[in-house]
Amino acid sequence: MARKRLIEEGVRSQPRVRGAAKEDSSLDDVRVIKHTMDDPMNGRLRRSGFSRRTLLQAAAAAMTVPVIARATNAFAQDKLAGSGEVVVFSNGGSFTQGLRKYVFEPFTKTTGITVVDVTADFAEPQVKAMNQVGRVDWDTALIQGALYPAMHEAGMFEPIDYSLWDAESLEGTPQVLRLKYAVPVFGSAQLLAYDERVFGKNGPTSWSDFWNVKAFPGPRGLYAPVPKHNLEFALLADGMSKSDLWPLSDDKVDRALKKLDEIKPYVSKWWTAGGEPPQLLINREVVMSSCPDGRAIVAIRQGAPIRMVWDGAHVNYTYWTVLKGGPNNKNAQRLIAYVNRAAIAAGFTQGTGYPGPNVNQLRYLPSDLAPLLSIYPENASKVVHEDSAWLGAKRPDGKTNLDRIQERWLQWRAQ
Amino acid sequence: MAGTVIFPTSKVASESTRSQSARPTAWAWLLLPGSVFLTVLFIVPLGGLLLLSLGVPDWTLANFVRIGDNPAYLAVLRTTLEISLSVTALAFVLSYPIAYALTTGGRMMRAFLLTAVVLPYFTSVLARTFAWTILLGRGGVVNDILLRFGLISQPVSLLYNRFGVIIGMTHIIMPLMILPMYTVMSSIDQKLLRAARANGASPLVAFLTIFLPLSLPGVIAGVLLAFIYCLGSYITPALLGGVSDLTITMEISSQVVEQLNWNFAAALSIVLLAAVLVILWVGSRFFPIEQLLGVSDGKAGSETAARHQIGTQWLMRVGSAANALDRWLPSLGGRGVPILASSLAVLLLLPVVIVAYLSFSASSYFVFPAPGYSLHNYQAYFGDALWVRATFASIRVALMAAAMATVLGGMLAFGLSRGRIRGRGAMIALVLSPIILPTVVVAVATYFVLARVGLQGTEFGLALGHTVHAIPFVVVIVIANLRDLNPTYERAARSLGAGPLATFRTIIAPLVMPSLIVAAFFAFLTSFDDVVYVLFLGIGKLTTLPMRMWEGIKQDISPTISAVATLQMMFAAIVIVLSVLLGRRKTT
Repeated sequence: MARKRLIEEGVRSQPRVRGAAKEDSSLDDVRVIKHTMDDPMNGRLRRSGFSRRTLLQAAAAAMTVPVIARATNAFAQDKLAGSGEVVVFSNGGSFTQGLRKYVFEPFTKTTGITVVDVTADFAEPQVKAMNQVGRVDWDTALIQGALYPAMHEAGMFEPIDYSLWDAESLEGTPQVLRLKYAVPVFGSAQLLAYDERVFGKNGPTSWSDFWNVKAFPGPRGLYAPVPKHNLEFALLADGMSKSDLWPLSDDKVDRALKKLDEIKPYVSKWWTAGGEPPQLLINREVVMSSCPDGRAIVAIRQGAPIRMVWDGAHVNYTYWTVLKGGPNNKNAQRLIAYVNRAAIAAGFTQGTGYPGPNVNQLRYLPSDLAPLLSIYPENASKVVHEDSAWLGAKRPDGKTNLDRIQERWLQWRAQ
Repeated sequence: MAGTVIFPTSKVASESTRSQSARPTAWAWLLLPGSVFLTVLFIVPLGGLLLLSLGVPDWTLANFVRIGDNPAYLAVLRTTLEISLSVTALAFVLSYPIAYALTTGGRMMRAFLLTAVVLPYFTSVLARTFAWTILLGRGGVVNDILLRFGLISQPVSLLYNRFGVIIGMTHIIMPLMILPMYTVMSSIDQKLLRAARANGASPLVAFLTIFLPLSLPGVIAGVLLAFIYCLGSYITPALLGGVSDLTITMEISSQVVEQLNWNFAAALSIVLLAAVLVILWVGSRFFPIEQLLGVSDGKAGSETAARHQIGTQWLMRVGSAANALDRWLPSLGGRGVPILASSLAVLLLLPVVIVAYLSFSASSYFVFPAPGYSLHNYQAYFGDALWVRATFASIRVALMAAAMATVLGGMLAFGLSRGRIRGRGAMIALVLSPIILPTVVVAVATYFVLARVGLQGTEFGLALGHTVHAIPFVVVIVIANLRDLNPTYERAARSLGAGPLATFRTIIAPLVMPSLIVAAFFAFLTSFDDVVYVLFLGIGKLTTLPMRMWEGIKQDISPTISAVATLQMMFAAIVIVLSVLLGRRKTT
C-alpha cells in the first residue's frame, strides 16, 4: 500500500473516527433498514485507527531508506547515471502512484533520467500492436508470464543487461528467475481469503476446507475469467500434492472440472475485477473467496476483517521487458537494474503492495508488512508457482496450452 | 404534421417514392463526407480484420473451423442474443410509458423524468454494482422486506445470475430507448388525437390507431440502438451475472487483450457481425425497419404499399375491438400513465441515490449504511491532479467527437433519408456495423490506421476513433425524426422565394434541432464513457476519466469513484433541468 496513502489515512483517521462516533445515534433510523454488518465493521474500523498509527511509524522508519540512498549518491556518481528519458509502462491506479513515489522519483534523483510513465489496463496487446506497426513508443512494459513465451518468440524484446545490476541484487534474485530476456517485476498470488467475523480464528486453512461446505458453510466466491487458479485449487482439494499439479494435462483438467462441479452450487459470485473479493467479503455476500493477495493486503491494512490462507496460493510472475525498437532502451536497462536494488525493491513493495523477486528487501520492510507477503519465507514454502512456460507453449494443433484450458473452461461455464 | 405520411396516403407516398427513386437527388451529396470518413477509419480497418481472421498471409479457414469445433462459442453467442433480446424487450415495455409521459406531461414532469432516465448512465459501473447489492443482495433491502413479511424463509438470489444481468443492463440502456422515442413522439401532432376523439374513438383507441403507429419510427430507432448496445456490453454482465452469463464480447475481448489471439478474435467478430446483420435482415422482413426509419429502397415500393394496406386494415380492426373493450375497463381519469411513469422513474433513481449517498460515507469501502459522513471522497478527487486532468481530457475528447459525429452523422442521415440512392439498406447496415462489432476489435484495427499517420496517443486521434463509434447513434436518431419532416413545408418556403440556405435555416434546422441535440448528447456520452478505444488509441499516454475509474476498480477498492459519479450526475441533472426549463420559457 502506498506510503502516501498510509500517511493520509493516519492523519485523517482520528477526526473521522470521532465524527463517526458522534453520528452513530443519528443513523439509527437508517440502520433499521439494514442491520447486518455495521457493528462489527465499525468496531473494526475504529480499532484500525490505532493500528494505522503504528503502521505509520513503521512507514516513517522505512522512509529513511531512500534518503540514505540519496545522500550517498550526492558524493559519488551512481553507476546507473545517464540522461534523457525513459518511457515506462505500469498498470495505473494506486499501483502507478506507488511506483512514482518509491521508484521513479528516486530513480530520477539518482540517475538524472526522467521517467515518462504510461498507463493502461494491460500492456501486452499494445506491445504487440506497436511491434506489428513498427512504431514502438515505449521502452519497457510489464508482461504476464503466460503471454511472455509467444511474444518473446515473435522477437519483441531485448536481452536484459545484468551487468548493470549490483552484486547484492543478483544474489537476492534467484538464478532461475533471471531469464535472458525478462526478469520478474513482482509475483502476484491468488489465495483463499475468508471473513473472520464468520469463522473467527478457526477458519479454513486449505483448499480442502474451501470445498468442505459442511464444516465451513456459507456462499463462496471464485475467479471467473481465467481457469488456471481454480483448476489448481480443485486438484489440491481433491488431494493432489503441490508438486504434481503442473503441467495441467488434459486428464488433470478433467479431474479438476469434476471437482469444480461439486462446489459450483455453493459459489454465489464468480468475480471479475480484483477489487471485488474484499468488497464481497466485507459486505457478507460471500464468507470466503479466492482473492488477489495485493487487494487482500490493502484491505487488511485498512482494518477489514479478512484473513488470508497461504497454503496452496497460486503465484505467477509478471515480467519486466525491454521493448525492441523502443526510443531509450539503455535507460530502460538502468531502471530495471535500479528497481532490483534491495532498498528500492522494498519501496516498490510498499508502494504497490506486490513484492519484487529480490528477497534481500525483507530487511528493509516494516515488520508488520513482511509476514503478509508471498516472499515471506513461511508463506513462500506453502505457495504453488504456476508453470508459465508450459502455459505459453504451443501444442501440436497450434494452440497454446493456455488457449486449450481456456476453451475447456468456456465449455464448462457455458454448459 | 406527420399524419399525412402513414396510412391514409401511404399509396400515394410510396408511388412517388417509386417514380423518383431512379435517380439520386442532390441530397445524396451529403453522404460524401461521412462516407469518406467511415471508409478511411472503419472500412479499411474492417478489411484488415477480415484478412486477419483468414490468417493472412497463410490463407486459412482454421479460425472459423475452431469456432465450429467447440459448441461453447455458439452457446455463448446464443446467451448473448438471449440477454440482449430480454433486456431490449423489458426496456421497451418500461420505456414506452415514460417516453409517452415525457411527451404529454408538464415541464416539471419532463425535468423529473428526463433526469431519472439519464442519471443511471453516469453512475460508475462498480459503484452501481454495489448499489445493486444493497438493493438486491443476500442481505439487501428487497430480501429484507420479503423476509420480514414472511414471503420467503431464506434470502433469494436476485444478483449474480441472469436476473441480475437483465435488471442491471435494463437500468442503463433505458435512455437509449427513451430519448429517440421521445424526440419522435414530441413531433406527433396532438390535433390528430383530438380529431380521433371527436369522431368517437376512446382514448385507448385513439392511442392505438393514431399515436402508436406514428411513434413507431422512434420505437424502432430505440429498440435497434438498445439491442445493439446490449450485444456489446460485457462489464455489467461480468459484474452482475452468474458463471454461465457469458457474452460473446467478453470472450472476444479476452481473446484480444488476455490471450493475444487476434486472428481468432477477428473470426469471432465476423461471425457476430454476420449473425446480427442476418437477424436485422430477417427482422426487416417482418418489421419494416428501413421503411419506418424513413428510408425504403425504391424497388420495394409496391410491396411496402401492399403491406401498408394490410397494416391499415389490421389497425382498424384493432381500433374497433379496443373501442368495444374500452367500456369494460376501469378509467384512471388519464392519470394512469403519469403515475406509472413516475413510479418507474423512482425505481430508476434508487441505485443512483444510493451511489450519491455512499459518496459522502466516511468509510474507505462501500459499506451500507455509512458508518459516518465525510467529504474524503471528494477531497481525494479534487486533491488529485490526475483525476482533474483526466476529467478535462475526457471533456475535450468528447466535445471533439460529438461535434464531428453530429455533423457527419447528421449529413449521412439527410443523405440516406432523402438522397434516394440505391442500396440504402446495405448502407445503413454498414453505418451500424461499428457498434455491432466489439469495441475492442474496432479499436485495435483503428490503432493500425492512426499509427501509420502518427496520430496514436493524441486526443484528436482518440476523438476520431470515438466519432466512428458515435456516428451510428447520430444517424439512427436523426433519421427516425426526418421520417416525419414533411417536405411540403420546404417546398412552400422555396416557392415563397426562400433560397436553399434560408429554407434550411428557417424550416429544417428548427424542426430537426431536438433530434440533433439528443444525437449530440449520445455522441458525447459514447465518447465520455469509453474505456476501450482509449486503451489502444491512447497508447497509455492519454488518461481519461472512465479509464481512471476503471483503474479504481481493477487496482483499488477505493470509493472515490462514487464521488466522481455523483459529480457527473449533478452536472448532468443541472444541464437537463436548465434546458427543460429554459426551453419551455422560449416557446411560451
